[in-house]
Amino acid sequence: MECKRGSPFLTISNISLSFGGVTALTDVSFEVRKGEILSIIGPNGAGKTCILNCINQFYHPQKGEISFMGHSINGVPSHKIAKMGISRTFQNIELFNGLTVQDNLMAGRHFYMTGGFWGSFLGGIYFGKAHREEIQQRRIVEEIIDFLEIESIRKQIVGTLPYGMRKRVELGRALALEPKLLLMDEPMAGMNLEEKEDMARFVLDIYEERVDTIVLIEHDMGVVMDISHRVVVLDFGRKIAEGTPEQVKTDPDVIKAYLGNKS
Amino acid sequence: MDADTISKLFKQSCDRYGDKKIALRHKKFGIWQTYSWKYFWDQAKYFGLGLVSLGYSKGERITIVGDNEPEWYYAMFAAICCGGIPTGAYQDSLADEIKFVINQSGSIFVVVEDQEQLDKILEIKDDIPQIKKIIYWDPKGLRFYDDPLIISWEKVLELGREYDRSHPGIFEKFIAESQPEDPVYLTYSSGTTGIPKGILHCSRSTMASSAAWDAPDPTDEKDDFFSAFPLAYGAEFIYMIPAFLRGGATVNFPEEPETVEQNIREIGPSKGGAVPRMLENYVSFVQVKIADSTWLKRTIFNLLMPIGYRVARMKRNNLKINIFWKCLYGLYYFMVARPIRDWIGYTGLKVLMIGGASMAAEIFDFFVALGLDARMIYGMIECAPTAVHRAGDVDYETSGVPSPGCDIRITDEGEILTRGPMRMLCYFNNPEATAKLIDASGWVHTSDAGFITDKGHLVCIDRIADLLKLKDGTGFSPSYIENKLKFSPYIRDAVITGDDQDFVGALISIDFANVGKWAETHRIPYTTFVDLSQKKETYTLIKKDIININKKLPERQRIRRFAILHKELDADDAELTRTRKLRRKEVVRRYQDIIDSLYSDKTEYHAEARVKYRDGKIATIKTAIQLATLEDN
Repeated sequence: MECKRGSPFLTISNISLSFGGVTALTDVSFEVRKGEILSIIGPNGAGKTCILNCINQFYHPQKGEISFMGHSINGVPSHKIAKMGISRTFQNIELFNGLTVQDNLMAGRHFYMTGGFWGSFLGGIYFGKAHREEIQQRRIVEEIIDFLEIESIRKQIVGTLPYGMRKRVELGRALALEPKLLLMDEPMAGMNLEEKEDMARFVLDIYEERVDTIVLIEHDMGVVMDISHRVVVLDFGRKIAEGTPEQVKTDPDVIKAYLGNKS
Repeated sequence: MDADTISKLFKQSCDRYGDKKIALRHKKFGIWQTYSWKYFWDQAKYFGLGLVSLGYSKGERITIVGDNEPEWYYAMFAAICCGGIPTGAYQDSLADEIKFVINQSGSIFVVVEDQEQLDKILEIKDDIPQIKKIIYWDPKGLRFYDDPLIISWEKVLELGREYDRSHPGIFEKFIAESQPEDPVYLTYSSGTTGIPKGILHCSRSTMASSAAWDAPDPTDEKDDFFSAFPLAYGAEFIYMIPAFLRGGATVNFPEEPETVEQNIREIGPSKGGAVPRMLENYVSFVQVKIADSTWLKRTIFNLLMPIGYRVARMKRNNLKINIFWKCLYGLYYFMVARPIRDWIGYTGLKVLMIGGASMAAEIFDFFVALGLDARMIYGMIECAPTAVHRAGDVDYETSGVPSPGCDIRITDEGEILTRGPMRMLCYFNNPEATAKLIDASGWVHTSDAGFITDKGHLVCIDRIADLLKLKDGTGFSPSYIENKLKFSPYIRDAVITGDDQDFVGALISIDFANVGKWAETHRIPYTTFVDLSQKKETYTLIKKDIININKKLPERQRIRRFAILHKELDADDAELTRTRKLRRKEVVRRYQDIIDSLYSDKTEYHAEARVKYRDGKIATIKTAIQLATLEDN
């Protein structure tokens, strides 16, 4: 199904999520439009990552509905969500630490492999369809490596890489899925200024060349205001504002949430 | 008729090999992609004609900014074949430095690699009004750039094809019209002594340079070159390119600047040159790796390495090597030399040409011991090589005998003068500087002090302006001592002082990686470069090395006092050139206060240094710098 630029792509309507007595999200709704970079911001514990986990169906909200390209995705298992075209990166980097960068990215191509068990077996001994497929997939992975400029660490074990590089590799794996919607959970956390600038550049490059709809959770306000088209602000599990960066910046509720009440 | 210009040579090789042989190889997407001579020809031809259709004509200049990639070659040959002059700016230059090159050369086109370089050019767009188009070859991130000045590589090729259809045979005509004295290449001096000057070379001079460089091991079709020096630096052009064209060899390009070390190992180039700085780095790399290695490996290295040195010495003295030493050498080569050569990508190399600066004999020895036919080459890019080592006549303390067709004369003041076919045409648009360099009878005044030995070898001591004199009149060459210091793996840069003083002093810049590793293994905690550099233990470490070096120096030239700098010398602070040569005047000016304290009885100096970060921000660092004294030794 095709979706026009600017039309609702992912719609979140009135979702609420609680863990026992703790309410994480209350009645949150907003939409992600095709062709935009949307940032979700908010103080610590506001429920930003919870929203991503709900979209992934890693958490199942007790109330409300999430629909992607017009279809409800409530209750769809996580791996199918990924197959539908939503991929993500994590705040705490979830890579296979013992594998090389290249293999981690190949893992992201898993869905596109059709060789099956026996095909893979023959492919393993240099023969047949799975072997050809491996070459095709590897080519796509190499394009991503080129795109993210990680050629020099291609064959290194992920566990030995510095943090900033791992973040980039994880982003590469998310891209390997060739998603329609990319969710990024604090891609710039813990980075120095130079790494942040690089990452911001990559986000913009991805937006221009690869994935035209991106949801970003980020704490660095400078970055958020610079690169996002719209911003959603959460506080204590509720949405308190939504709009362009300029609108949000001057919103009294947002200022209150971040800086507290004047007393 | 034999081809007498670069563009005719290019055509000759393209015609001879067509699509049967690989001209260029570039690692992309993890695989070595190959490009035939035919492809090379087509790219250069259509790009050149594309430029012509955009208003390029004979004698015009283009500036190329980018990493070493085939497109650099295509653009360069496109310009040369159309009778134009390519020049390059270093890819890590600041926008202002690029602006200087573009305006000094009067370029009307700029060819850039990617967004990073394009952004720099757009920043200075208003200051380079003569530019007709800016051409990029890597479109990543440029989709929404809509400046009318910008045009893509593919688009220019398309224009070129169209132009070829309406003007058939014109490209070949351009090539046929080329003359040996036509300028073909413009490179900028590194600016060790002030503003860079444009060195203009013609086919005649570059082909003569290359012939002298290539003589020890003539290039043939099987040879592999590796393009790792910045292409804006003249050495690759004047030495390698004519040889590559004549021999029909292959040039290999690294995937990214960060992967050069991996890629060079994969290729194992059979031809190449090196600058002392590179070799110094290799040696300290090997030393640190060995020190860091397991007990067994370290023992094997320490046990067998002397065999390498011993045999190298026997070979140099033309002694017969008996079967006993041959066997030992075989063992040594297999266990030590070959793995080390593999690590630095020198497995395929036979002759190692070293030039660009003077180098410590210890480093030279090391590479000879690895089984390489190492030779020094002397010459400034304006007229290079002036002297070169011939087979069987290698003496590492000299730069060899005058190269073919080249005359050398030493003036009464001790300056080296040279004259030969490899001399450049002139400094571009700078007649005063040209007149200063080349006198009426064609001699090039190198500004280097030197002498000729009994065996007819040239020895270059140092820049005349750099020679220093102590108060008592003892003259000495700072760079000679500096090179000795730099042999220590822990010393990255050194500045020797002592002009009109009582004794020789030194400012040391430590090698952060190596000293850092040393500190870790010795359980010395440190935080930053500044902290590490001023540790008492670091001083002790460096002192030990200086004492060793002092033993090899004449009494009066020994270092008495030294200080370790709190920052690395950096090209961005104008302390080094982009090819990492010391800009002595600038460094001495900047650290004058520390130097003054060296010659006082202070033991500490409180420094406030302005540091310029890559993004242009300026910050001040406050540190107490220790001043150490070496007791009589």
